[in-house]
Amino acid sequence: MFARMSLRWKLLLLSIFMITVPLSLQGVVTYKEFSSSTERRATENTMQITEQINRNLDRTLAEMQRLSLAPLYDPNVLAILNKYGGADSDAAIPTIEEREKMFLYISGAAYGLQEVKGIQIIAGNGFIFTNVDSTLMRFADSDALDWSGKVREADGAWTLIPPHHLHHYIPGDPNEYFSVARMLREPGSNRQLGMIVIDLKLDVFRTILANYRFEENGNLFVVNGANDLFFEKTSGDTEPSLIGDLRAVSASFGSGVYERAPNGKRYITVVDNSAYSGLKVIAYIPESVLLKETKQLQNFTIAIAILFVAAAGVIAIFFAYRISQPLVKLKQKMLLVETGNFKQSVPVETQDEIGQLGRGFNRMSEEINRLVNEVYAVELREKEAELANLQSQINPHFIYNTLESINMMALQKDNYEVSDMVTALGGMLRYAVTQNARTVALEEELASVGAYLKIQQLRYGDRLRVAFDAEPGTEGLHVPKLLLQPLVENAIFHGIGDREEGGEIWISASRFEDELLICVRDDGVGMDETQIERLRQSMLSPEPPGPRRRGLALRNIAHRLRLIFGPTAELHMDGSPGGGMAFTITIPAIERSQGDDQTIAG
Amino acid sequence: MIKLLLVEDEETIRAGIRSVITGLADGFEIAEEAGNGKEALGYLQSNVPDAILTDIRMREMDGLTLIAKVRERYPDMPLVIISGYGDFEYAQQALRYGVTDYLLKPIDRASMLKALERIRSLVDKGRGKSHRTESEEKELPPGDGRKLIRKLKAHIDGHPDGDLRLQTLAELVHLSPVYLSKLFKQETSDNLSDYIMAARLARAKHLLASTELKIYDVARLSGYQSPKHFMLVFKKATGVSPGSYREEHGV
Repeated sequence: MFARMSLRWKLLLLSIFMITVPLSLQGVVTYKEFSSSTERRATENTMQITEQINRNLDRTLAEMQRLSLAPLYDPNVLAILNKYGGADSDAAIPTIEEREKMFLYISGAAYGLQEVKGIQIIAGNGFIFTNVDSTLMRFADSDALDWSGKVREADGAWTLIPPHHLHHYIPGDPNEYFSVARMLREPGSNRQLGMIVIDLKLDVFRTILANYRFEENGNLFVVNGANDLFFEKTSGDTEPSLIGDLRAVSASFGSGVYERAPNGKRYITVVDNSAYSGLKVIAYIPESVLLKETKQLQNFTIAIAILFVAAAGVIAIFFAYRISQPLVKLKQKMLLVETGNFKQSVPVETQDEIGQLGRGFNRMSEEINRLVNEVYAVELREKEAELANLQSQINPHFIYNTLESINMMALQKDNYEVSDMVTALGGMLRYAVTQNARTVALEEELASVGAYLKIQQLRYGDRLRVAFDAEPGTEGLHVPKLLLQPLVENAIFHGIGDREEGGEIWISASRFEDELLICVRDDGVGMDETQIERLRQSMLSPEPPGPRRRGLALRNIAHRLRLIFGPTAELHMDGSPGGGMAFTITIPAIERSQGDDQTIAG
Repeated sequence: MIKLLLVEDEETIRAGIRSVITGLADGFEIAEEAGNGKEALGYLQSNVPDAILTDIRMREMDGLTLIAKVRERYPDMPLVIISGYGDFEYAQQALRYGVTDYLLKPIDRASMLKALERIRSLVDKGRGKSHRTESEEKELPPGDGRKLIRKLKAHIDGHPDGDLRLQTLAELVHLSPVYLSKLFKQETSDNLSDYIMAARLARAKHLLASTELKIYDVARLSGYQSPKHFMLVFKKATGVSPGSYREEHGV
């Protein structure tokens, strides 16, 4: 496949390959590196945030714990609680004074703590002292509250109560609150005095969270060890399955970073576990969010890559063309040389191997051309010498004068046929022998052919009919001397031959654009396609195929045309069985300037 | 009658020329024959012919010397050279002396008669006679011209493969070639040659579309002697080669 491609394509493919592969490799590596570092950064950031949130929560809760111990250091509070601590004081309502005292104490303790909704001190008999409303007077069945068991179990240690309603003392409040609670015991006797519950707004989480730049599309959960959900911050498109996954994560995973994929969507999950409060802050960041930035980079990289490949492609095409063009030209010229046109040269623009090749080719074709011309010139010189020798042996004027004597004798006897024959012969001889320019005006050549045909007509009589048809304007064009006579001879021989009815010969000349077309046609037996093809082939082969005169004469004409006018000149042959043959000579139409006119028409 | 002096050293040739002039040229006579330049000059001492025909190479005095001397005395006398030498130098000198014609031996009858006609017109001009050229074509009445052109067109349309050379067509309608083409242009505002080409191409198209003849025969039967010329002309006129035309329109 590759071996059969042209050089241009090979170069093109190779350059595109060499540009595309490193570029795309580099793109892939950059993309991977960037996306993993983005992910790492985001993960670290999330870890820090979750940790910070948890530490903040710890701090708040520690404060609340301290607050919950404070009543034990106040003798007034202890006294009041002692008074209403036992079950014996059931349903005994504290006095207004006592209630006022407790209200002031609690209000003082809670003063300035915005996150605190309220503080309840539930005495042993179930009376609730609170700072929420000084007029509130209520008993609570502390056993009925679902969290009181846990507080009692903790036995004086602090307990964190997950979000719950405060209907037991603030009926109708739809909000949930989470609370820090503990049992109060008299420091000396260790007697149970009651319970303190500090109710905290869920805003605590929000306030803390607001201080950090947490990923907008991420999800944040706060749960305790028992998997109770304290707080959730979710983005709009959070999957319900996330909550399920959250339970599994909070139940079994310690602090750390995990990759979770509930429902096929991938999340980076960061867990921070507080040893102090037992709260877990869990963040779910969708991977798609992390990849958003890298997606942009990816698109950018791809766009750049496409741009570069396109630009590289254009440059590659340009270079492939530049490099292969001289070779293509060289190939074409070589093909021309193969067909016998040695006058070829290629432009040499570079100094590289291709340039050297071109120069070598030019030298070669020049040399071949020179040798061919030399051979031709030598041949021509020999011919000319031969002719000159002939001319020196025969005094042409003696012949002309003799012919003129014959002519005049014939005229004296009114023998016009002989006169015509003699004058035609004289004209032909003069035309052939006169040494002057190698090319003549078409009309001179036609006149000479006319003289030749006149002689032949005297021989053949009515059997030879001739028609000349030279387009006006062609008379003065250059033609090589004695070009047509072999064609006409050929036409008579093959076109008339032995045919009883004789035949007609057309000699026409026409100009087509910059070319002169001279045609000699007969209406003889003609040739079929295979014969014509064989004749055409014999023009191309270096040696004449046989001793056939026809082929040889035609070959000589074709050869002569090529040597004089180059490859544009040709001898075109065509015909049909029974339709005769036509030979068309095509040569450049060159006007004869006045200076060329060295011959006087005979 | 135009009097000629014939200078030629060979008796046979003199006799031949004499017989041509007396036999074929009307209105010419040979007043004197001289064997060389000297004899001719002797005759010219006391006689004035209308024109001189002279050979170049002769004993005693050659033709060019004779011409030079004649020109001194008669700058306008028509001179015709008859020579076996077609050489450039001779021809150049002859031109310088303003010879009327330069006939090469062996003399072609027709060229000789042409040379004599030229002498006649020069002599006539010298004598103040208006030269009787072939009388200008008499203008045809417009109706006749149109009829004639119609006939000519019918002839061309009927025989696009025939002999449609201007000369032949002119003979057909008994007009001079120049006048015929002028008349055709005037009547049809079209060139005669363009009309012939159109008729030939129409025939060629018809043959290409309706027959399976070789291109060579199509060219031949459409009046193109050269199949190559036909292909070039056809391609230029129709935009496609004859072969392609046949593929598109053939049956």
